[in-house]
Amino acid sequence: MEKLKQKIMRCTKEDIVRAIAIYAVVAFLLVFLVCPLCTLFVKAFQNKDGAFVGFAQFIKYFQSKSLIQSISHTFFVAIMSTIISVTLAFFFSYALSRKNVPCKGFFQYIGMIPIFAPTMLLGIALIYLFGNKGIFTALGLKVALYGKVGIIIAESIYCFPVATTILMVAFSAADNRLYEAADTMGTSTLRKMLTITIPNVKYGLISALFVAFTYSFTDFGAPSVVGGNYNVLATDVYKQVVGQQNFNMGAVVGIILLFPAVLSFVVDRITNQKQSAAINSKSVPYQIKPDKKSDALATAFCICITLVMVIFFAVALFASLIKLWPYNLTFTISNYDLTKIASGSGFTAFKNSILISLITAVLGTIVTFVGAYMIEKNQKFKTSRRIAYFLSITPLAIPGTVIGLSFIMFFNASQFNIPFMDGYALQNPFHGMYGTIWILILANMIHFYSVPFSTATTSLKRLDKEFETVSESLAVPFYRTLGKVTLPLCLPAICEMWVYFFVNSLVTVSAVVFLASPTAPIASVIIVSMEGAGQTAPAVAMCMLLLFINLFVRLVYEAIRGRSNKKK
Amino acid sequence: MSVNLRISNVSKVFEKNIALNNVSLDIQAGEFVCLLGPSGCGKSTLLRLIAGLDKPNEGSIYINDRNVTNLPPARRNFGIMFQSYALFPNLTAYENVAYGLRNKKMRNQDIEARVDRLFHMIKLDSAKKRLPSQLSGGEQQRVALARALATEPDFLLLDEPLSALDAKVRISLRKEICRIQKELGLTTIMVTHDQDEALTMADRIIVMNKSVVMQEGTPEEIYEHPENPFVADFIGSINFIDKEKCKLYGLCEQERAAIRPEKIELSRTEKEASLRAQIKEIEFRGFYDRITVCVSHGVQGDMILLVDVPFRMVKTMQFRIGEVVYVNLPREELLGFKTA
Ligand SMILES: Nc1ncnc2c1ncn2[C@@H]1O[C@H](COP(=O)(O)OP(=O)(O)OP(=O)(O)O)[C@@H](O)[C@H]1O
Ligand SMILES: [Mg+2]
Repeated sequence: MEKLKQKIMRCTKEDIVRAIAIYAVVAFLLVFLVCPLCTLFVKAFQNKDGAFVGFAQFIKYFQSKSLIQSISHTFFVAIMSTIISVTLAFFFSYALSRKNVPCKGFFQYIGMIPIFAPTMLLGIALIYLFGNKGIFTALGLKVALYGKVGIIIAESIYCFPVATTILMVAFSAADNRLYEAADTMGTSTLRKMLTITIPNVKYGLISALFVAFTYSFTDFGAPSVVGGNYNVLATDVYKQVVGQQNFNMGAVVGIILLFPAVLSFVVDRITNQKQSAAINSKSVPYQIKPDKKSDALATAFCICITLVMVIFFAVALFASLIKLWPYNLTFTISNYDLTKIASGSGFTAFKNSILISLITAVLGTIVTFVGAYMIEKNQKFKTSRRIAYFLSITPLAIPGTVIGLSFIMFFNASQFNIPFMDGYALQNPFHGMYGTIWILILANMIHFYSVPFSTATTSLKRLDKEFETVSESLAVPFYRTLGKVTLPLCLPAICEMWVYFFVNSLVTVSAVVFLASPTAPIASVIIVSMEGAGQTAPAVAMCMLLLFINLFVRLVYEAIRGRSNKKK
Repeated sequence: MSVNLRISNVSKVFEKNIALNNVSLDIQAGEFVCLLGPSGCGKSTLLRLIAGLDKPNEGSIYINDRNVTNLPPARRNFGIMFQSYALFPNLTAYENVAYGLRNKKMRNQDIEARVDRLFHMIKLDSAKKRLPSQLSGGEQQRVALARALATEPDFLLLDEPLSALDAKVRISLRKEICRIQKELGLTTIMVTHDQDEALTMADRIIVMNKSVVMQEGTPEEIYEHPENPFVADFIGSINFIDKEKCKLYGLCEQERAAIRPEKIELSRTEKEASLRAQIKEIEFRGFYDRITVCVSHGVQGDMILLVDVPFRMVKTMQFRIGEVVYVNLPREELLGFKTA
């Protein structure tokens, strides 16, 4: 007691500010990440009336034929699209980083476009290309699109950018001295590939495989459009929860969805550590040597990939600008008239989406940066910092569907029963957020928390760790150094975090599809329902709008970054 | 104002890894002390404890006889400098130096006057408006020194301030730091693992190894009278002679003897008590040659000795490899150690 008193006496004003900041971040993550997940777990072991039933729900689930089927469907689709997307991404990033390909920046940007659009757009574009009235179908190329084929194509394109991003990083970390050593020994190209290149990117490759798998395993957007009767877990959950209001069974499926994601998360963590250990400051960057034949091949490959992307988005754009596909091809912009679509709620939905993305981006950036700063640039609060770090990287392992599910269960409950204490219940203070845009903002902040957090951590780690020491020696409080030095130096990273939050919040559907309500509609969910109701043209127009906004935000960001780089 | 520092029985443990083991030191006001030791011996840790950036597990720290063990760094009034300079890259040299003053409710013109004086002192008046990236390493380190001095600290802590600089700049900055330190009469503790730096700059050297203090004393004391083989070996070069050889050649009675290469005399003529040896290697070192000789004595084995011969003598004597010479180990220069 005496000790505690002394400890408190010794606290300076700065310590108090620090304590408040770190505890606030921990509290935020506990309330909006841990609590909803706990609710989900509890629900999975209860029946509809809230009585504890142990594994009964799980047993029921595994006895149902159609649900078992959807597990095998999901695995099949996810494995196929992982193989396709990672293979393509491997050659694409290899061509861009190890071959003389012209206009690398252009190819790379085109390859990234799918990130900026809702996944439904890929599905809808597929329908225009290969559907019953699709262009290629009309040309005689018949594909059984609805079902696994459609899902696999859409997911492959969807996973391509993220796999490319990971592999580009892996390829960039090459040590030219190894290649020079091999050359002096007269090693063949194939042998160099097998003994140097592949081992070098091994961890990046593993990480790309797992991330792509998780993406396609848990995606909701594409299967909801081109899935047809081919049921997968993500759409199952939606049917269980939104269709049949069977929250408990939804929780069971949610937990099953968690398994591959958690596994991939663990693998990613391990490989990350290994990868960073493999490069050191003495490495010499790779020197690309011209080789006419393989350079031409690489360029051709890049053009093919880009062409596919361009065709997809061009078709979608075209479809959004005509009256009625394929009967009336006259030009119109009426599909973009937001006030008319989705029985008038189109405009509200669009406005809400932008508003939500803006608020998520601002709040998310602040919370993740403060969290990263307190964890990285702080000596005290060891335990809290460790907890905060763990909670901050956890969202990477939680699929959007599961976040949506757990949020709906957590916010929907008007009160929580306290276990083993019948008759006592806790009023849910967050119940009021249900049905507002705030629940969507919180879901997005949690869903996309980890990547910006890592961005902030990396950029903070890059700063000299003695800045804080010097400030302390000069008796300058830490928040002054934060404002005058740390923030200005981290500004590029902060912009990047902001853009990440914004872009992803605007197009996401997997989490928010459970949370958007008629009182607070949002664009991506409206797209799903319009598409379901056969209003494909306005749906695709809405997709294009979101894509344009994201591209615009990204371009502005690039312009700012380019200018600040030039200044230096 | 200058202060004295006292470190009393301080220990610091990092997750079972002992960084400092019961270290005690007394540092006088105005003294320049060097902490010298191999990597990982706990020098930086000791410095951080004095700064208050870490708390010792045991022991106390006194500034001017006041116990400050639990005082936060901001209230200890010191300046600090690092190998990495740690200048704020987005602020100009001027703003870097003024950084600590801006917080002190000083009038702008007072700040300006003081910063100007500091820039004058470090002889960098022309570089005020430049960003750190536009300064050379040596200039950056001088700005860092000015920044550390700006708040008129009571004592100065330097953690390997010169290790990142090239040899020429390092030597000129050594002088600069010493001059400023003497001018201000500032108690200063500098960490280094460069023995030349410690020998030329310090009033007193504290040699550390494996988290304990091995010896403290003036540079002459440390060099001429090392108390143990570690210190003898760590500072300068030395020939160790084990007990058997000592007996064999009738050198001394102790467990282990040692002699510095420049104390050994080499000649072509045999003198009393000199030993016959053969030259094995001659290494050119600039202003002296390092000659390896092998003293042989029948079956019991040879004794390899390093001998430093000054340049003048090299010129006149013209030693050759393989030649037989006589070495003389003056008894008064022989160091004896009780431990092996
Ligand atoms: N924050 C820390 N956590 C754990 N161990 C630490 C920490 N800081 C230092 N150590 C350990 O304490 C020991 C002494 O470290 P210290 O930094 O004081 O060495 P040093 O003498 O300054 O070495 P160098 O010359 O390499 O800077 C080392 O073994 C180091 O690994
Ligand atoms: Mg050190």
